[in-house]
Amino acid sequence: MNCREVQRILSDYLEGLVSDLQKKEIEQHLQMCQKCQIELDEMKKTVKLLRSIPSPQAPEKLVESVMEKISAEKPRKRKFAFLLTAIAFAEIIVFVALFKIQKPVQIVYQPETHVKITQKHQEEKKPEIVKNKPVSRVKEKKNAIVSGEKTPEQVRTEIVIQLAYLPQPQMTFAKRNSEKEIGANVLEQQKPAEVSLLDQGMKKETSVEKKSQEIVTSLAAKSAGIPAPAEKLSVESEIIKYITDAGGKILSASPASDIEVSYVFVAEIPASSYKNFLDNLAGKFQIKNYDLIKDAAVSETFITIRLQIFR
Amino acid sequence: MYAFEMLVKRYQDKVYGICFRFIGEHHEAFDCTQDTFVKIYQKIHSFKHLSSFGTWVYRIAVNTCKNRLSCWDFMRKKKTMYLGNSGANIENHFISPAQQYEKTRISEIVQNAISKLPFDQKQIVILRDIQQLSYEEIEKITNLPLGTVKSKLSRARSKLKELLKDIKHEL
Repeated sequence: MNCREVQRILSDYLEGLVSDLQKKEIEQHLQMCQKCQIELDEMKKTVKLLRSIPSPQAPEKLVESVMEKISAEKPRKRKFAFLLTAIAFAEIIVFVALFKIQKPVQIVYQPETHVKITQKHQEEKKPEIVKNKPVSRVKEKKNAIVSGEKTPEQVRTEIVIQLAYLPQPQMTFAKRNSEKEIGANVLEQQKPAEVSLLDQGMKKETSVEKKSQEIVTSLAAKSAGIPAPAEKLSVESEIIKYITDAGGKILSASPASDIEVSYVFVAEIPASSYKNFLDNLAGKFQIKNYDLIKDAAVSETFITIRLQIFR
Repeated sequence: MYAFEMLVKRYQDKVYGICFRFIGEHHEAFDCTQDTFVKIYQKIHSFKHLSSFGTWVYRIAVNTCKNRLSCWDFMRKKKTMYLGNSGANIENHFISPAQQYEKTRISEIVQNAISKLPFDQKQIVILRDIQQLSYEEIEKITNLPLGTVKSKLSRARSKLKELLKDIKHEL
């Protein structure tokens, strides 16, 4: 063995990990080589030094701190698990809701120019016009024509009612707006708390735009017994009144940017009070194809209506 | 929980010793030891009795230290880390303050020398020469074959021999 070979396995020799033959050869070499002998002594000293340094003792608070950390980790884990469960449930609900929305056939009545009747199947179809007038203001999802083939469970109804206000010389739009402001002012001055409560009840799950809020407020003021003469209500207020009287819920109310349509309401009305609601509307407004809408076969508890007020 | 507390008490000194020698600083070593025991608590069901429980504990400790050392935050901290007081906190009332000081100084020098080794050599030296674990245990902890363990130990010792040359003459 030469010096290089000996020094390579010197560490193993110290540990007694070499074979008997290697051990003999190393010892023979060490007797002849002073350099390797010094290397061996240095190595022994190094190992001795490393083994002599005291091992630090763990701080006293370590156990306590570890146990605290473990205890703190546990609720976080539970919280995370709860969060995951909540997300999973939310996803299931959304999935079911989407499935329910997509599957049913939707009927929207559209008599001539004012009322559109469409049907929605699972696969989207191009809008099919029932009558001559183009279906420019109908939602994208209203696709086909009336179909009586589907079972009530498969049908979900949204009726588009297009209204033309019967012109009254004393009730111009400008005047109506000013009256609306008056109504709101009266409300603010007299019974703000009651209005707020009524307002909340009425729009529990809906987001109504600012203007519609004002309208609802004025109606609420009326319901709360605040003097606000019925004849002073605007067209929009009147419609809201009819909807609420029929036990309906306003889903959205917004001014339309259309040339012909001034305002659009989307509301849910109980099927039982649907005919009365239409009758009430007919007394004040001109409803196109009133008979067709009135006799629409309704198989649900609630009907979604889309009211379009024509200028 | 009580059983785990007993387990922590049993292994805390060994684990803290390993962490301290790897990290070289008490505060970080404390955090590392804490993380090690939290990991042990979380993974205790995955212990498959392929080795002794102690070996499994040391393996987690080594891996935790390895992660800590490669962590960017630690690398940044290391630049500003206070290198003093890296000696072991040993309070021996039977030796004089001068001897105590000398012991601490030597311990610091050795610790600094160890910290200069690359990780693969450092882990073998710590496990073999400082913690004095058997080769079989080191093989299991490091997942390295015996030949590699021996060669790495040999290289590490040669390096330390050079690094600790001055102090050995003082002894």
